Amino acid sequence: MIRRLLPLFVLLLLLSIPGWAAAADQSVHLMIGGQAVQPDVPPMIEKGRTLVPVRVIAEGLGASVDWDQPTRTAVIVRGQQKLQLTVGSTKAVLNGKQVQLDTPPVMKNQRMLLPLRFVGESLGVTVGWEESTRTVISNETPQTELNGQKAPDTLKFYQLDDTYYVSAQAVADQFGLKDHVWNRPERGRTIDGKLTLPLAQVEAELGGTFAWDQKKNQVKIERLSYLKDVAADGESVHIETTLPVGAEALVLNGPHRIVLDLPHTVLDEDLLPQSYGYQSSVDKKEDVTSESNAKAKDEKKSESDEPGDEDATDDEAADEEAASVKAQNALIADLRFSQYQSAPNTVRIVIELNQKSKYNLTFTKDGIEVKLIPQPLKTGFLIVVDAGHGGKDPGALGISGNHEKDYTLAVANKTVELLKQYPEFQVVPTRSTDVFLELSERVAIANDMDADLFLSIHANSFSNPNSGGTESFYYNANSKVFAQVVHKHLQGATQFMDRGVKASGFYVIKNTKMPAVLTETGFLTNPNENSKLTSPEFQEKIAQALVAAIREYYQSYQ
Amino acid sequence: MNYRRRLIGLGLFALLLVAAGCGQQNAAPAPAPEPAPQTEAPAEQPSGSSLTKQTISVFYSDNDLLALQEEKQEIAFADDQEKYQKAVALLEAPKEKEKHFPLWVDFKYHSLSFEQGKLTIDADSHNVYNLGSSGEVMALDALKKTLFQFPEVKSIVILEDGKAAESLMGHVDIVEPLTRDEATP
Repeated sequence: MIRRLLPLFVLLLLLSIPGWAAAADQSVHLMIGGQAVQPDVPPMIEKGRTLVPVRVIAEGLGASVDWDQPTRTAVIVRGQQKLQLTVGSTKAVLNGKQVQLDTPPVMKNQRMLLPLRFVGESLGVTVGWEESTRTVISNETPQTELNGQKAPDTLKFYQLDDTYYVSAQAVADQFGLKDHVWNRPERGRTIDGKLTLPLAQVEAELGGTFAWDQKKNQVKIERLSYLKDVAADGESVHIETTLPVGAEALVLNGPHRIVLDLPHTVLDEDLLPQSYGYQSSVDKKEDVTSESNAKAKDEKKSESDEPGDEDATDDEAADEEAASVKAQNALIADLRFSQYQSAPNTVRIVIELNQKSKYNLTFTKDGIEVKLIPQPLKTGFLIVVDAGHGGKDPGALGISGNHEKDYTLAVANKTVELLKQYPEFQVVPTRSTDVFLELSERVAIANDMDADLFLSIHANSFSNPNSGGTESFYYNANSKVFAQVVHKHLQGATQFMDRGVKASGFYVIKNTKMPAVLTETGFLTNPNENSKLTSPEFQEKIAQALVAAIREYYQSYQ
Repeated sequence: MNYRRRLIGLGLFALLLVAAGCGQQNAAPAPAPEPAPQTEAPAEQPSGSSLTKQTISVFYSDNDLLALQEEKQEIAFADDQEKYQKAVALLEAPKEKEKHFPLWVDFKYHSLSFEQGKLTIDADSHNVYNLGSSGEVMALDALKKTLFQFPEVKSIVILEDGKAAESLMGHVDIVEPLTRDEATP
């Protein structure tokens, strides 16, 4: 027992020697171009910025430094870049233009200390901070190539000893691999708070080639995925690729479509003849003309270097349309794919649906699985009944300690049951139990299903117990008549004071597209009204009145 | 044995305490610390005479939740921050208690801050407002009319526990800042 504890003892003793711990904690290390550098004046950290001696900048970054004593100004030149810094000043001059520093250069032990990150980045040098080892890492920013094009600046490259590291998630993002889980994160370093991995490790985990040419200081990433197959299977679509890719889906209407763009992906040769728009490079009925994707993509599309001529006749186009016969009963009406862009290579897959569907995407090592979740079909005149409040939101408090959310739910449930007796109606409640829904969720239920009417049930409250009455609200012009009809029936049933039909921009009636009404049956704070509102018989009467209003509106105004 | 073990345990514990203490003393400054936000130095407690006095309009409901009623009240404040706080506090306290009904009762908030025309009120999510849809609209109108009488206030942002909230009372959305030009619905 004691023997086992002894080493721990010694370790604890060591840790408790203050000087030792302090030295380990405070010093800042410097690694420039993969080499550990120990300047005679150690780097210091000031307001979160690392300051290093001029000589370190000069030698480490391969810059020439001229020092002008009278003005206390250093002029640093590296290649085409010229940077002028003055001791104690936060104003610097970069290539003739004034720029702002957040930490000024300082003098210490007769040496000028410069902010490393600022100077480095001004001179085209990458600078990073590794917290765990308290090391400033700095190396020349390499030239980059990602599948033949310059890689975006979000990719940061660092040299530590002989190993070249890259910011890992930034690379994965290029291939649509959001929140990628790396197999061997322990092989990486955390620089500027982000995981960076050796190029070889990224290559091993993502596939493709990640090469660093030290002489040319060039990083070349070749990683093209090939689309091997796209197949529909009931309510799923399997997308097979040679390397993992991610994609963001885009949902379009008229007809319902789910569009996936696969980055850095090309069509496999075998798939080319089946691809949409093959033999006619200008795709006349290309999908994305609407809102979300009108961006710059359309321009690029025409650059697509598809084989084939521009002069496809209308006949040919018509033939093609006939070829993609739509299965009437299946969920998936059509499945198309095309080489949508060539620089960078992007494959577009379009899933055309007979029925509006939500979807889940699963990214696997072999591609993407699309699981479709068809939304309920509209079968009749669709009424969404919304019981106000619920769950954590009790709504107003009645004078007998009763909650508005219970009143609204009781009336809503009764209304739903009554409406279901009419075959011409389809009824959807926003909630049928005591749960909380955001206002936006209530609206989404109605809008997503293209409901024909929206009815929100509430009860009122005020600090004056004498206040009472029934009132109904609408907001959009298409709702006014419905509000009048509802109010007539509702106030007729309550016989409370008539507070009238009013326009007011409550969220659920403002953002629903169909005729929508919010009713305040009566006041839970009025003793007379509250005793009625809490009675099941009275609630049934209210529900009947609301149903009568909906029936009248349906028969007279639809 | 038992006794020795306990002693060793005690010794270890003491050492741990020493080590922990040292660690704290020597804790390195974070390499990239954000400079502590410069909070405006609170104006030193002024004597009663140096307070600014102003007569302001404060808005309440009539006795039947139908229309806003204006009441003139006097406030005394040392700085703008206090001016807004007092105005908000008065929303709960009409002088004419028979005719005017407050639309804000027991309204608690974590903070009230003003920056570049934007007044941010971080409300406590535990507030119980006990108003229906019409009351919520009137309460927000009363708040707007009371605070927008100060010309420097251009917009009001209401948060709940520091986060954006969809609605205070379940009818009106407050995701967008309340602004002057917004027509009263």
